[in-house]
Amino acid sequence: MADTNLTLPWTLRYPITIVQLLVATGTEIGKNTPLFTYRYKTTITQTRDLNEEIEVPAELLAVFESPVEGTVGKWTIQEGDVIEQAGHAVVTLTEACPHAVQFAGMCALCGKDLTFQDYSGYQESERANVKMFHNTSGLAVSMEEAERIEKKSAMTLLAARKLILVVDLDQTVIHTTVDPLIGEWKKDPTNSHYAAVKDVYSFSLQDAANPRGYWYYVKVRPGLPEFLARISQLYELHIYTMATKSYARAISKIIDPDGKYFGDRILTRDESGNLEQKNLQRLFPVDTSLVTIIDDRGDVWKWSANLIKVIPYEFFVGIGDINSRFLPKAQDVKATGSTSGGTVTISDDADVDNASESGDPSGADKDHELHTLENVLVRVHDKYYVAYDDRKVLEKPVNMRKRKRTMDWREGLPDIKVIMPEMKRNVLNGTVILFSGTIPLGANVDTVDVVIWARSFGATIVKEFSTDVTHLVAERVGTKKVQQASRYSHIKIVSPAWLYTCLSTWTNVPADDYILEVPENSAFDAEIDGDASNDKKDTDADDDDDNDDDHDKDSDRDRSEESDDDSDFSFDEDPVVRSLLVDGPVLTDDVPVANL
Amino acid sequence: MFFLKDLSLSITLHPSYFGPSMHSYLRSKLLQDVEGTCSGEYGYIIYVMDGMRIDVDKGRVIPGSGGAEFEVKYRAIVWKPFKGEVVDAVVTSVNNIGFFADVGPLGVFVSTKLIPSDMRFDPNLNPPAYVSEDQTIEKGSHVRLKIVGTRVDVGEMFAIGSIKEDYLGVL
Repeated sequence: MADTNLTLPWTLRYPITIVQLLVATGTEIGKNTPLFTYRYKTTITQTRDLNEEIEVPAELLAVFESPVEGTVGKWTIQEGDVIEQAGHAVVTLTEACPHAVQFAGMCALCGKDLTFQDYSGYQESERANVKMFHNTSGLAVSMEEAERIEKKSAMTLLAARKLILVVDLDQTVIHTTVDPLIGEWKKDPTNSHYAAVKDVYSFSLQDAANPRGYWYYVKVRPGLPEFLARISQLYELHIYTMATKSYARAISKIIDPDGKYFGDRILTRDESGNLEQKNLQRLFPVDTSLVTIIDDRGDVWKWSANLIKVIPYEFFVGIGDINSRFLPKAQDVKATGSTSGGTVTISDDADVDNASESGDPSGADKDHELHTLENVLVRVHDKYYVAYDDRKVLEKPVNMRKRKRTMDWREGLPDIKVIMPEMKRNVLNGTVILFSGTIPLGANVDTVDVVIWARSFGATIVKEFSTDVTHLVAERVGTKKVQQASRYSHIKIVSPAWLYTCLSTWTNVPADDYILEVPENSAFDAEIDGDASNDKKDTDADDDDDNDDDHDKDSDRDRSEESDDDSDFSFDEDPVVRSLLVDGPVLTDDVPVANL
Repeated sequence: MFFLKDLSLSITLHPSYFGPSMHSYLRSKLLQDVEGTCSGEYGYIIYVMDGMRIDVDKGRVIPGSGGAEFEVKYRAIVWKPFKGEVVDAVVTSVNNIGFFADVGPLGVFVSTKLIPSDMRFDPNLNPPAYVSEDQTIEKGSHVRLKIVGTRVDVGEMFAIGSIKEDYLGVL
């Protein structure tokens, strides 16, 4: 037995005026029993003088029938009431079964077939429209039931002092390739690559299209077993991947052979219902305040506040994510290639040769991402439960008041969506970052992954050089922006590794280890010449690798007028003279002596 | 419930199959087409009986195409689940709102409301399970359940089960 508040559907023509209530409290009614009559205003078409049609306003009487069966409780409307819009509560019905859990078109509580349709257009199956389960399609619950379930699991988690962690597979905790070369290397201990690939797992999957099966080669991100063992103490782990079910199962057998971390909590593209986006509401329709996500793609989550973006794991260089076929194209491939441990991986010659031909393991695997990620997750967990404990003290007097029963349990609980962005924002707060040579020319800066990522950490990203810039993140030193920045001692010219280290460790790491050595000025010459001639000819396109927008270059040009003039009048072929000339304005601008 | 049922199927044959092995071809086509299928009327056709005594009529040439239509009569074991029937099942997956079990080809869902209230879901067990003092329902467990509702979809059936009655539950 359950009480249901019957509300008016949107299909009526509002406003309506209640004329007469047709059933008394305590009556048992069936489906489609008339409940009340009402009047509504409309226009009807009348024919006048044979062929002239006119529309006249009219007020018509209609009957509202009960969409469900039950016992009539208290009426919340009276005869004569005017109801303006849908969703207005009409009457309380006591139903034998509210059909709140449904499986394959049947009520899972009473076994009734709910796919039955009649003239009223009301579908019982729509009462349970929330699909929140990992592995089974065809099971759905109503919003109220979903809330009840989530409350229960949230209480269990809070009691165990745990949070929820949604884990992406490809390029976050593993990297997979289908290149058969890896299999050959693995088989042959004498092969020069044997050492690199000997701990690569392999499995084959068959499908209808390919009965012989593909072989998949899986490299587990370094430190994953330890990571899962420790993090599973603090988090309930879920897998959410864009791969197929069979692939996800095979991977989970590798990373979690006993099923003790993930259990059955695996959601794949077979069930997710969307091939391009991941959506937390699919698993947690009501409450995401306990949920954190780790994923190497921010865009598929629409940069959700629950997301911790990780640096993609790329063991087989150039392979990328084999399961991203349906996803929007990944950005940033260039920027992420050289991020393992903050140093560029230097492969030996043989590896370099091979890498250009095929997916090749990049020498030593120096990836430390999971270690830093673990630290971050521990910090988030600590922060949450500190806030949670504080709340406990405060909450008691609040609880004394009478409040609405719905949503009650979530009030006053800390929210990851608030805590995490706040922790992030403090990391790079106050830094002003300018990119040089990192973002592809012509890209819209605001949609580039690394920009959105850095902004979520509180950094200000500027498109053009100005003296407010605190860090210049440069891929190489030969660009105009580097040259401009090198004149100011307060601007740190750093490699992208600095930024990625900040973003993955959630700390503002000192830039000193990442300072790019700006070489002797000969390296600039070509650059300056190019810029100077650019300015002179006023060409539209900026030949520089930076993504300068031409229209806001004017202010920039004024400031650098001085230096341009200097280099302009003296296209001397003698490099010594030229470097001296270039040094002129640099000296007046307090560049540290080290740079000279 | 299981039934022995006399059924018939009409099979259309291309002329290239007309010949000495036509009857054995019709028989194997029959087995291929009906065994393991599911219809709302008869439930699952589990097994075609008496393989050698399948009755194939003379067949009729279809005007205009050259093919022939044969009416094949056979006897089969069919299984149709009924509301109220008690069946034995194997648990396939367990989650926080109930568990799924297979009764042969039929998928059954048993929700927490239809599980005795002393059995509680424990998500931290590996595998997750419903546990009471003396019983555990986890993936792979054998349970006896009562069907409380069935529904037929195209080519498949589903059922809702209950173990909230005497003599139902873990076997």
